[in-house]
Amino acid sequence: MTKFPFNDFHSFKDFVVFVQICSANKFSQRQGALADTPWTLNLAFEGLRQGLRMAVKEKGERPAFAESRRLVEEAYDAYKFGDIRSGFMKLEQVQKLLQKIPSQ
Amino acid sequence: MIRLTAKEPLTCPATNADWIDPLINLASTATMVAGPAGRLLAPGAEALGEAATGSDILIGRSGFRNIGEFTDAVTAKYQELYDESYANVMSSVSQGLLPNDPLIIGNKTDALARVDLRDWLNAEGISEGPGQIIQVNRRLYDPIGSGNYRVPDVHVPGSQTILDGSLQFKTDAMMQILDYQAFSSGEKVTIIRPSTAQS
Repeated sequence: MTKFPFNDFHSFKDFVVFVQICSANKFSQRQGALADTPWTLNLAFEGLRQGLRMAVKEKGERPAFAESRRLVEEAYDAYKFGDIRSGFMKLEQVQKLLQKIPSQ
Repeated sequence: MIRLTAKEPLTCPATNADWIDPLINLASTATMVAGPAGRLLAPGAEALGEAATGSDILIGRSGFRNIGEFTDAVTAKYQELYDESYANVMSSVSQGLLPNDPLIIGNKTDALARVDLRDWLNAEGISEGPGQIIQVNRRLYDPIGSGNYRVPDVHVPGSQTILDGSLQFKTDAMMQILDYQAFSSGEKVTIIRPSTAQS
């Protein structure tokens, strides 16, 4: 299991932007010990799902998290079908939803 | 020989904030505005480096020999990642996915570079966060207790170094920079700009 580049809800917010900008095929090369688990669309979205589970543990279940889970799955489907614009815009909505929840 | 990684908690006297307390006032106050980053060691970092080398402590899987060497590596890495992130974001602008708005481009570039830096730290086995050797996008509070805070992109307390990504040139007369210095007791602030950005 790869380690994702976030360790709390606060750092997860940046990860949403990372997946949005880099999907479906602009991911950077991972380095060192992580080089054997390169970024892919599947891995990035696994990170989004894991991050949202972590967010619920940290902040408690909220409507914004449920909505974000739905949007993430829709974005994943959009990217898988090559509809980058739709995936991008759905992750923009996720980012805006999460940004409203305070963190530090 | 001791190698500091995330799997080896910082329990050695020479690896946490206690270790740097006696040296905390050694660094000079300076603001640097950098394109491609240069050498950034403050006097305090040099002193820490000597202490670390004397204890034969290595930081991360790359085995940085002291906090100064680690800070140099972080600064060079952050510059590299900021350049890549800026190019990536501008690609999204070119595709019409993002508006050509400097504020939005800057925010997206900052977030992207921070994720890549955290991924690099993971690969190095170095923990990030409050109380760790490095903090990424964490609050820096006014020490007099006003409740005010700033959020620098990168903070390495052990070398008294703050890195902040920006598309714009910034001077040490700007309130953000003044606050960074005031809230950190005069740490060195370096602005990281995309190497290809226009002034």
